[in-house]
Amino acid sequence: MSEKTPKPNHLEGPPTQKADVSAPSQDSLLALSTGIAERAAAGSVLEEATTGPRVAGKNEPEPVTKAEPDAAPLAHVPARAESGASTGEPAKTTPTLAAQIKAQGVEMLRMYATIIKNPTLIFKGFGEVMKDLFYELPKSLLSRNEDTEPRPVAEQLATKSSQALALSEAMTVAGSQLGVLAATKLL
Amino acid sequence: MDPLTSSTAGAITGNYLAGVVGYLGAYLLLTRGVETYTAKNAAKDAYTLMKKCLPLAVFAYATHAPIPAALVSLGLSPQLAAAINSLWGILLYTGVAKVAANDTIKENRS
Repeated sequence: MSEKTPKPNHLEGPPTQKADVSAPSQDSLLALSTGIAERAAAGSVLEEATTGPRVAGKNEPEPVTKAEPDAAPLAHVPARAESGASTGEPAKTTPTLAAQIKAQGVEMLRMYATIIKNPTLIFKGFGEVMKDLFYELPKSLLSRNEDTEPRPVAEQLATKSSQALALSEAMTVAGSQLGVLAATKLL
Repeated sequence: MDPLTSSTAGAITGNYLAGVVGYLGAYLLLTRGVETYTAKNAAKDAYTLMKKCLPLAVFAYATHAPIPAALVSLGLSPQLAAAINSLWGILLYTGVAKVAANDTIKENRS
């Protein structure tokens, strides 16, 4: 029964690949035994020869000289793969969905608690929005000077969020009317 | 369902959905010029902000009727009561949403 089962595909490989694996190993043995091959040529052949057994059998240990050439491709491997199997350390467990929801809920409650403790934050936030809309936005539109230094990203994002909030508020008027129309037609 | 209930439910749903869609779209468009801030970051921040504002929106919708009714009972005209209620809602929502936006920007960029 074991004879009838086909071999796994990853062990077979195409015929050209087999020829590539076997040919360099013979050349390298010949080069090592006779010592005729030059250093540069032998180096390239040896490098090819070392790749042969690694393709055929993955359990064989890699030579020490292969550590440096393989270092560059490893740079592209994501950090998740590096921390997992290569070091032998257990992979970091990601928090579950329930834990994430709980953490976000706690964070939200903390924000609301801060606002309830300091109600002036509401007026301060509203004032920031008004300032962004009626002072910062016209200022940036009117004075487009290339020499001025760009503002910090956090400051730019805060201004953009104020503008987005104002646009969102404006859209809610139309949204409410559409909602009334849809509900009275459907319900 | 009677017309008043259906129109109120439709207005609340439309209001919140339009607010979410409006903020997401506007924030995505407005942050396009900001370097080192991708559209994915913008969408994530906008989503986080809208999620934080949901309890506030529910509270605002819940107080949508009692506040004007109380103002009318105090002697104000219905139009003035509705206007005061709208202004108070805008002030409350915008102020809290701005605090939440600053909070979100600070969290995600720290």
